[in-house]
Amino acid sequence: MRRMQATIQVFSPAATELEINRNAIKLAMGYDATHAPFLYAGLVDELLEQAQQYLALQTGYRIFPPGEAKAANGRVQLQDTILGTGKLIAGRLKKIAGAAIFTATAGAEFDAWLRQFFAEEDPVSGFIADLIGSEYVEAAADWIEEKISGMASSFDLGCSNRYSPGYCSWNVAEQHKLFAFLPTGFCGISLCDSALMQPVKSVSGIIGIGPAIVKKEYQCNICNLQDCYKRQIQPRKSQHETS
Amino acid sequence: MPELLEKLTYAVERGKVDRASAFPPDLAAADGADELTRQALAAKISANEILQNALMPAMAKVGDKFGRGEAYIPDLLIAAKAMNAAMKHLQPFFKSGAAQHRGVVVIGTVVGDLHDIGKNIVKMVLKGDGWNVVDLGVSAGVEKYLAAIAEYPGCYVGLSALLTTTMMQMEQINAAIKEKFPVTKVFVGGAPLTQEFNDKIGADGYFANPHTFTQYLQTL
Repeated sequence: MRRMQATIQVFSPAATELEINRNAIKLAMGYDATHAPFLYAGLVDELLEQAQQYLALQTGYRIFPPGEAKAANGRVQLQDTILGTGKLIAGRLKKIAGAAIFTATAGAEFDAWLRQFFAEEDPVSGFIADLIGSEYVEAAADWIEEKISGMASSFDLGCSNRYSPGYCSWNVAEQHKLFAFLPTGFCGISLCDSALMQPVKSVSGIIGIGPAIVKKEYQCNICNLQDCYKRQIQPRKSQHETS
Repeated sequence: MPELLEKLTYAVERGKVDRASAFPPDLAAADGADELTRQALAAKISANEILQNALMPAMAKVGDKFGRGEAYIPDLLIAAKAMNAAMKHLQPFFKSGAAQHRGVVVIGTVVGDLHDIGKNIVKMVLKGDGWNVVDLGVSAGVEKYLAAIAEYPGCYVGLSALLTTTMMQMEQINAAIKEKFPVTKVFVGGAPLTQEFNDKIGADGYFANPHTFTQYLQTL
């Protein structure tokens, strides 16, 4: 019987390979997607096009095969490292046998591009470019999640949702433990003492793997972080349009 | 004269920066805040009158819409951009003392944190509301804040952080400020912050968005 192997992989997906939801960006701006003023809707399209030349997307994972991960009592154990994820995440990962650590980034040039708008006192474009960065990084994380999930299913294993330090009561300082498992500069991301990732438009996290693991519907109500991109892009009640 | 100021108010409220700005589309061919301010100064309207009777009321109108849920962050920002286009023409009058800012706000992202989008948005809105904003940039440590407060007596201070790790720096910075400048008010903002955290570290207020911050500052 084939067994999942420990692997580390980095990918550089083209921006065109990712599914970008323009309506999510409008929702994050505060508007219903169908009612975003012409000015901003046009600017979103214009900046999305401009962004292509500054994006240097990288995403990757490290796989911990079944037998290398377990979760209980508010903790997730990867090999000999204990992650203090808190009860919420550990509860959702209680059936894991293995795991994947992942990162994704829009790249340093993208950070510089969006900062330039504020330097030029064009805060509207800067604000929208920031949301575009968030959308691309989340899309890159979706992309790598799908890759991990596809690989796991080829071994008859399931995958959990992805969870990141800083969300669902998992202390962001724990990001150091995740990065300790990755080669220095993995995906071009570095970590400051304060657990800040650079480039700033980056995400990291963990996905549980196991024969009895299933992905659940995404739910913001399990997390208490109010001012979060994912919460901002949840469709409002009056919002029916999809892209 | 009042008609010119009314036009200026409307231009700022709608975010019409200058004649060349394509937005808003219904004002495409109209003069913007830039031209209207120059016209007002040429018509011998004082800088202070322009500020008090045209620009600030414009930002107040946008702020009120924001408060009612009829405008969003981009609307605040584009109005602030138009306001800043007008303010550039008033700078000489601020320097000479013929016009006054509402006051000085020293803002920065605290040490260890490099996120500045939120701080920059607050800065634009504050400037648009008539405040002189001293921006300490990112990863600003306690010494930077203390030096700025010494340079701008009577200023207010805004601390920004986006991480739960870096927001802890706020406690130390706030304590150092209170020790050296006991009457200086220190405000905090950023995604992971809450009023409870503000209360715990003894800061003077937490604001979830730039509009409520500027509204509060006006009451002081």
